[in-house]
Amino acid sequence: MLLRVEDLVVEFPAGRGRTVSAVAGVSFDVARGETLGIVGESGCGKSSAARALVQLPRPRSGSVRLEDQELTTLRGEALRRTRRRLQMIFQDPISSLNPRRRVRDIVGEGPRVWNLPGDRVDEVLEAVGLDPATAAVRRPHEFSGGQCQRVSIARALILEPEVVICDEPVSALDVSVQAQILGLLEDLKDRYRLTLVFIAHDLAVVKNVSDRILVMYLGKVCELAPSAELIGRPAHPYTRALIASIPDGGLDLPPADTLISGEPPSPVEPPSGCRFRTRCPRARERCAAEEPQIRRVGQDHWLACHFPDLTTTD
Amino acid sequence: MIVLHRLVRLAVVLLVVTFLSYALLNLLPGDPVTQILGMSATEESRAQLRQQLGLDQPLLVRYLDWLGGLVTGDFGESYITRMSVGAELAERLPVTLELLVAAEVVALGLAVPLGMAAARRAGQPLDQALTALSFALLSTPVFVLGVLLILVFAVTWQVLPATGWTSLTTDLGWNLTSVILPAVTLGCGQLAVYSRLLRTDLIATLQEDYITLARARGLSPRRILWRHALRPSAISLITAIGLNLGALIGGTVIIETLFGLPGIGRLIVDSIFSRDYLTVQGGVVLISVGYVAVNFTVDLVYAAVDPRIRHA
Repeated sequence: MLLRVEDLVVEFPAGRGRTVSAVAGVSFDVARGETLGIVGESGCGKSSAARALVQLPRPRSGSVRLEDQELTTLRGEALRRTRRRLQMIFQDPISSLNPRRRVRDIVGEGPRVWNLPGDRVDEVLEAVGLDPATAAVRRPHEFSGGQCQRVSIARALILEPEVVICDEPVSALDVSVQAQILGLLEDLKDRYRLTLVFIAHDLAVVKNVSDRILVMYLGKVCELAPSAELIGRPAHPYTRALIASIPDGGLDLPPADTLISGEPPSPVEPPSGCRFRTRCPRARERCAAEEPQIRRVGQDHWLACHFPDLTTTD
Repeated sequence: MIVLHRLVRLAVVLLVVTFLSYALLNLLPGDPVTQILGMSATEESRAQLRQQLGLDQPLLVRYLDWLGGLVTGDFGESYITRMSVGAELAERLPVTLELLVAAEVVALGLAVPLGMAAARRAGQPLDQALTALSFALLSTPVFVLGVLLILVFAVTWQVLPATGWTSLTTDLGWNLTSVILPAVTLGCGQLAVYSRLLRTDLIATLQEDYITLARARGLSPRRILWRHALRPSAISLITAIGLNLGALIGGTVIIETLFGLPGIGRLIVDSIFSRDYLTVQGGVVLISVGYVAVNFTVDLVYAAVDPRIRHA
């Protein structure tokens, strides 16, 4: 396994001595060359988990291993030296780029700092579909959102990372541009032998690019399975609700509004037991009393639910 | 084009400001005649002197007369000393300017590293200590700080002169020693303001995505602060510097008095007391031009700091 995450916990102070439980004991691993998709509503802790992977900020507890290197205990220069191997792409293409720099400086700074040989800025700009001759001398505000995202990808790519963590990389883009950027990420993944962690709130986006999908709710893992399995045989009530909300999701599920109700509760005071129980149509007494542990329900299919729906067939 | 626009604006500012100050001065009780002849002079000799100085003319006529001279570069001559106001200003201006530049160098030279250190460790002991120090500096009146510095450096240790001024052209070494204490005194108050402003803006900038991504690329904290965070966080700081410079061209009276410096501020205040109208007017012109020039420069600096402003 290239990336192994165990029992990751991320908390933030919420004032008056309380804490926001953003990520509460999440474990997963990612094989080299694989794309792991992470889905869940806004505020479910996807982005906090992504940032904890690169130690920005450091998780409260848990372990993040890149090959044999434990990242959570690294400090200062040693941590800085491993950073090149894990790169990130964020949701907002505009604020991801320093508005005062030209594209050539933005993309070229990384290799300069790392003393990587040769000037690959032009090559990488071409790889992400930008014309180096015209793009390199411009500043971010002269580009569209999609083009800015291409610059962000080029900036990550030029460091020859092993893992690229894409945190909602297309959510801020027009639908037509989304498809282009997703296609680009797929191409680059093959070309540069990348491993991707792909985070999105939209299961429709994630299902096409991911080998496996992890569903998160309020800081916890609900379900983890290969894409086709998860989409075809969703067992967790929350996963089923997510799939039902995709137009033309392929499954004959009841309307989404009968599978989920209300708003997510506050992560400052998460519900007892199963965190999804307050919105779950299948919730019973046991769900409030006992937290469901993650267990294996099929070939590489993992689930945390007391009363899953294991009947769905393709 | 933009320069022409600015010149027109400068002319308007000058007209308004000089006319108002001219009118205000004339509202003050007393006039130069009393200053020159004393209280006991006869009404006859007073009228004669008034006529000699042109003070018997109506206010508007005198103002336009002065304005006509100004257009040709003539600031007029002092009623009291009969010396050229232009020459007097030219002699005093370098003192004030040097004091200003030296104070800003002191203030910025310390405020930038201190503001960065505080922003990097926001909420931690170093930041809290710097916050306390800033408020202590801000709430210390400039004359108290000045007297303290004089006491320590001029009286106790005797390493720097307490008062007096040696001009830059006379002796560079003595000039620098005579500017240190006033510059530090003046700079300390601004240091507090500047480092606070920079700290606040830096804290906001350091939360930006591109800063997180710069850290994720393994850039060193020092490089991120200086190369990526400083410029975007400098807009409030530059604004404050501009306002300060403008205000201080004529506003360093206390420092100039305390340290015995022959600067513009003292000249203006002395001239107000002696009802030396034209010298005051000259000072007002100088300050107005200074304000407009500083603001123009600040706008240019904005564009250099943030290339997008040119397009806005």
